[in-house]
Amino acid sequence: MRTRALWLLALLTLLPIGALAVLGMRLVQSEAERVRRVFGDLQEQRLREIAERLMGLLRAREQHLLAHPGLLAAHGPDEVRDFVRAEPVVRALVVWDAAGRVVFPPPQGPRSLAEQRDVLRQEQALLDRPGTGIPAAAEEGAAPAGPSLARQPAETSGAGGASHGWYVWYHGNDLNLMFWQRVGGRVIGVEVDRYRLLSDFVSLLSDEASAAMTFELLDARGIALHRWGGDGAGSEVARLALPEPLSAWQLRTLAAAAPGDDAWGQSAALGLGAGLLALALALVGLAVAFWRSQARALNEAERRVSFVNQVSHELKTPLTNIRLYAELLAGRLDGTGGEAGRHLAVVVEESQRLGRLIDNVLTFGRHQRKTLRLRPAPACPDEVVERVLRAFRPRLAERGVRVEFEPGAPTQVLLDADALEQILGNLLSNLEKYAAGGGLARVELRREGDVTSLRVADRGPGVPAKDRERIFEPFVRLSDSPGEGASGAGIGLAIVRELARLHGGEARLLEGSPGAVFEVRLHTPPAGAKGEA
Amino acid sequence: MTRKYLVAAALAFLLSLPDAVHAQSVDMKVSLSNPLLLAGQGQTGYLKVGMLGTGFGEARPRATANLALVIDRSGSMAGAKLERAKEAAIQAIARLSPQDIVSVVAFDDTVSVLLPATRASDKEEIYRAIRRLRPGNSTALFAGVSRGAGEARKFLARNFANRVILISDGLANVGPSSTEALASLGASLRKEGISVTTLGLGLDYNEDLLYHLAQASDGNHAFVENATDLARIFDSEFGDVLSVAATDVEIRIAFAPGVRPLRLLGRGGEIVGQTVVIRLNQVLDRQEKYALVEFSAPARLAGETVPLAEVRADFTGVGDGRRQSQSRSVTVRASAERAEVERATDREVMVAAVEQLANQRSKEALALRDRGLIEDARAALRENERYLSENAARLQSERLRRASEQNRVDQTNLDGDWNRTRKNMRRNQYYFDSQQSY
Repeated sequence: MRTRALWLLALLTLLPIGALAVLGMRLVQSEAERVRRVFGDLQEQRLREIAERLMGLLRAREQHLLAHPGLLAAHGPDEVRDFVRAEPVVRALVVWDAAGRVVFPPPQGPRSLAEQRDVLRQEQALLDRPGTGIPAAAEEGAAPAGPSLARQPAETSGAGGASHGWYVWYHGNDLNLMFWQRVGGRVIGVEVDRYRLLSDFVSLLSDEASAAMTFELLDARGIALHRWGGDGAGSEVARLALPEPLSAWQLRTLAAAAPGDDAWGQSAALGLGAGLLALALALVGLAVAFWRSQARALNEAERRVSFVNQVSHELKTPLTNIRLYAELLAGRLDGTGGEAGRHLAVVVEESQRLGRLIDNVLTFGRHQRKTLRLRPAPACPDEVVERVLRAFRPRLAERGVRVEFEPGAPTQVLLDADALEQILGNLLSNLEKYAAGGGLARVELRREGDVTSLRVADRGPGVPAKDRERIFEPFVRLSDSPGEGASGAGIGLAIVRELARLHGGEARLLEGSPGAVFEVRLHTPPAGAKGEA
Repeated sequence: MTRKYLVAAALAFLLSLPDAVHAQSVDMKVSLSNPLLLAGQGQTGYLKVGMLGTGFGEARPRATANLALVIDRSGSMAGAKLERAKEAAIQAIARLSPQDIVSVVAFDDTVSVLLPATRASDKEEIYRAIRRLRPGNSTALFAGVSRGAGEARKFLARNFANRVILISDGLANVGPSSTEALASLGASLRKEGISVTTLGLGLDYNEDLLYHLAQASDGNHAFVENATDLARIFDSEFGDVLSVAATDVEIRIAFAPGVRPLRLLGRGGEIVGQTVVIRLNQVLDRQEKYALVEFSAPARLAGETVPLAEVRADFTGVGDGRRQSQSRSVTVRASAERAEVERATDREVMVAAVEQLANQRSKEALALRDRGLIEDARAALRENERYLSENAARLQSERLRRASEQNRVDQTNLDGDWNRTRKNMRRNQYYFDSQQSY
């Protein structure tokens, strides 16, 4: 009883904590996920801003290059070379004529070594990706001569198609950039020095220091071109490709302890853990308090039971004497007492009933204390039953109940006669209380092998199917009508079952029609054989 | 009142007088390995264009220095190296005048500007910024130089000595780290008039990277094996910066028809047909920087005097920022007398040519050694030593004798101590390439 309560309390404490822990972890996880997403979005937004600044610088370079077209278109190679020599961002320059032929570096005239190298690189680019490139200077639809030059779907301005844009190709380790513009029937391609561009980006970016976060600009191979903020430790929280024409380059953010990652999760879990611990402590406190009050109540109940037992025990001796002398007296009068004889019969009957009641209380008490023991001895079940019926017959007859007995176990077996008496007494008391209206009490004894089965059938209202097992539980009463004595307390059938079980058998309710049939099976080895009770 | 205005007007007039009255800040000296050609046969020769600052005076103050100190603070710099670098930088900055400009940039994984470009009027502030330097992690060399250049760019002027001074002891490991990338960056900075001086500290830096960065940007390069030498090197570098006489120098040599420029020795430039263009970021006071062109001239008849080339130099004087130019015409005379031709050999030009040719071979030897061909490299250096010592005797040149000696020393250290030798060779090659002042 106590251990069960203990288990129950432990369960009551642990289950909610467990459930809360699981829920809490899931909450932390989903919260971490959410925070990570929001954080990632924020970081991506920040990367977009950075990208915008970088592209702003690129656009400024574009504008700068767009401001020089006249010079480039109208003048000779020397002026073009001066331009290339003076412009920090310009790596090389190519000019195509309207037919798509290269006019600078001069194809016939002298070229410098660097120019020869540049041309080789640029031609390589056009060979690498035939069909893409810078539009021929001629109007749309004109068949371009020389290398196949298709339209670049980049920036456009004004009517008549693109007037300038970017051409990107991959040669060497990273992207190569060419800004082309159409001026006066020529196309001028300015190859922009990507390292210079990067250097300008670096100058633009370095101020964005942040202790917790590292930003990186990655090249086409994913290798950091530049890093700022932190030292590159941590995990990636956002990544963004730069817009055209630098789409091969990416920005990314690394965070050492970003919200939502492991470290952050650990701290959140720690908070959760602390909350759970507090809750657990509170629950355990409650459980202990509950346990103590429960234990007090149990002790109290035990004391009461023990008191009742004590009292019952004390009652038993005087009652035995009262019964003994009442019966002696009744024997003397033997039907001649008239009025007094009848009174005496009532005294005998009631003292018998009180005896049964006290027996029941004591039996139940012993059962509760687990000290209930049977003492099987050789006895004849038929005789035991007959003895009990003899005691009950007058009362039952008075209630209009006819008793039929069908004996079937006339041999001596090992049996606790007191137990059988108590069993049958309880069953008949019940019958008297609940099924007297049926007018019949049929008692059968049968012996099959080592089993003696006792059946008590009535013609009463019976027991509803749903209650068939319940009625064997202690303190369960189907009707609330005030009954008598201990049977009225609802322990009669419980004692029947307990005794039957102790006797190696079982007590159950069979379906009767009408009424109820109680069957009690007892293990009764033949007397003389060593049997277990 | 009127008199006051008159005085002011007179003063303004005097101040606005054109600089033509002053001497030019640079002397251009154009000379040939031999002004005489042996008649009747085509031959090669050397044309040398020397640029020499003519000295400062009251009328021509020195260039404003616009310096960005870019200091590697990667983990390997921790300890004595960083401390010496800081001391040396502070010591050198003490030499600057209040109008000079300084910025301090430190880099490891990332770059930080310890001191944005500022006038050197409050030196204590600069010292404080330098003392704040603490060692960090890796080496983001590209970003460091970019940022230094960014700081220098804030006060960029054509007549300033704009310079990034990079001190690094390690391999670039964050950001672009190829010689192509850094040479590209250097070349781009040179177009703006910013030079990058690269000081390689210790034995772990990549000398090729620093060599090419310095070369492309027309800066200086030095191998500083011991941090204790930093003070001396810084002193030399600042001396170099403070003696800039002219900036943004372009030398344009237009060879006469028939004469073909073959190659440039030492300092690089562009050869387009008959024209050679060489650009220098600066010319120093009392320190000649030169361009040397090998050319081939066609056969001439004896007695014929023909134009060989037109040389023109454009540069910016540091005092007033005015664009100046000088031109020279060079002619050659053909002579049938071999002895006469031999006698006419210009010793100075020949020394420069021998020096540069030997330097070329030193680079080839280094390339051989890089391919693991130690014996071939040694043979090349031995041949170089012989060539230099022969010419030293013939031309009576102490410089060539010292160079010959250096080639002998290099030969003996090709296997055991190659790392140190290689850094030393690179440094010496650059010294000859750019006629470095120290």
